[in-house]
Amino acid sequence: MMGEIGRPKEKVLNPNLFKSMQDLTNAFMEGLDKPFFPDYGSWFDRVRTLIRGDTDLAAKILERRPDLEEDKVSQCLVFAGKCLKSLLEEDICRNPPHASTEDGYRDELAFFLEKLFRKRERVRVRAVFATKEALNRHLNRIFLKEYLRYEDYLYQESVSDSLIGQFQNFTCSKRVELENPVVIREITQEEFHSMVEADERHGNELESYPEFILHMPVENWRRQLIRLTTALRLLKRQRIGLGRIYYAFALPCRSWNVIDAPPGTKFVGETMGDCFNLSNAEEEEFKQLWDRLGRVEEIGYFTMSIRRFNFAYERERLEDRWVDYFISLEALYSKTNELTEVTHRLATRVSRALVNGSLDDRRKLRQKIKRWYGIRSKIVHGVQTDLSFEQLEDLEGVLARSLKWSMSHREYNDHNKIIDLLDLGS
Amino acid sequence: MKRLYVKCSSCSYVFPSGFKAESATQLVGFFYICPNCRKIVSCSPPEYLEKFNEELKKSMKDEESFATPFEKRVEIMGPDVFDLDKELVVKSGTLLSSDRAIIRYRQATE
Repeated sequence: MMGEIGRPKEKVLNPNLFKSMQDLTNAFMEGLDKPFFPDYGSWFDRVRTLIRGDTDLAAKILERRPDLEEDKVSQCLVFAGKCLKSLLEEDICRNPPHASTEDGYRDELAFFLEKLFRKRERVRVRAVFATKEALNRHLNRIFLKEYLRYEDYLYQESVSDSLIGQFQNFTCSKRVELENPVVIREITQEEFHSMVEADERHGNELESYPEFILHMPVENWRRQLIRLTTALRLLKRQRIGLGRIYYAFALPCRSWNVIDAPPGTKFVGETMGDCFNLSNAEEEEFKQLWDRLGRVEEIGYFTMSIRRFNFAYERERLEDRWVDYFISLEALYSKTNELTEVTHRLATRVSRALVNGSLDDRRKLRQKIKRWYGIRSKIVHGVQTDLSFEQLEDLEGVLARSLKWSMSHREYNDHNKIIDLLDLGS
Repeated sequence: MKRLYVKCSSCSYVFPSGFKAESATQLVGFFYICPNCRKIVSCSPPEYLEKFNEELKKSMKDEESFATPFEKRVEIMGPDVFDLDKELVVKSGTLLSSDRAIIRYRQATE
């Protein structure tokens, strides 16, 4: 089926392994040269069963599948064994995430073959090739490409699984490197292929082309995503949030997993409208916010305030967002034991923190916060309000400024001291 | 040769596809990035538009669906994104068949 690969062999590092993989692929393509029926399990499960090389199991498969030819299935077992032997004998990387055991290599081979089967199925469904030779040439090219990617992985010491995030409605003018190796950068064609493939497996269609993606290590990924999303939201008011997140395996033939964005980081609403553009001029402030969030994210009152600030982005109703914003503000400006005169304390502290100018401006903001707190009280007591989107944006602005003010305060680590300093007017 | 236009199914914005061809039937399986909302939009031959005296109308006529077989079929694999800064002229008798190739035509003005 696959025939002789007539492509530049000079790219192949290990001719022995190449030959083993080619023989294995040919055997499987010939042996399982049948249309895909979901009843028989996924390609991965089917291939994995044969890769295990269990002759009793193969006999049972042949009993159930009279359409498969015994000698061709036997060839699959033989070449699977040879290929596993090659992989175990070759001088290739065996440190994680690379495989190091026979079982690990069985999985890798099953992923490799599964990918080829899926690609062959897709080509067949499209039926674009006029002759069998043209189809074979095309499949050979796919095999070579996938082999070279796998071989590259086998010899590369420093590979790791990673996480790819896609911000909705987001553009950027250039690569932005944060704490190594968290980076916002242009997507590669190969990553886009994997992303589309992962989406297809989860029943999602091609929707938009994410020119810029977030690339990060898998350690602490939830925390890092919350930190990054918060930094962008504090930078400016345009709506920003994550679409899908992908777990990208270092093993190149393994399909990516699609993961839900953590609560508080999701993009909710229409993806049309103004795009969030992270400009060169904003990069420094963004990085500063990222750094400051890194030092405060584990401090109790910040954790609560940031969580409710982000939750508000996922609320549909303005009233719910309003309450979230107030919880966030109260977490910033209230001591734990303060249960009375909340309105007065909050309004005074916010105005002192944010207004350095005239007393009149300070008084105006204080009055505004008091009015807004009244709206909050009505909402939580189930009274109808005529809350507007403009008011909500106004409150969001006050909260964002408050968070930035608190994060940059020299006493950020001592909540009570910040509040005492505000109360004393210093 | 016709300049072919695409209508975004998401925001209804109409933009040049980046292709000029004798017939819309010469383009199969292409996707486009809408310059307005950045969504990926698929476009099949009957959906391509053409300008008739500044008015946009369906480019493909009924009889074109029975077009004679093309001599040359060019397969373009995807889902790669192809950036075009100049319009591509699809030669007569050629069929461009794509497996989700995505076209981003940067030159929005004619």
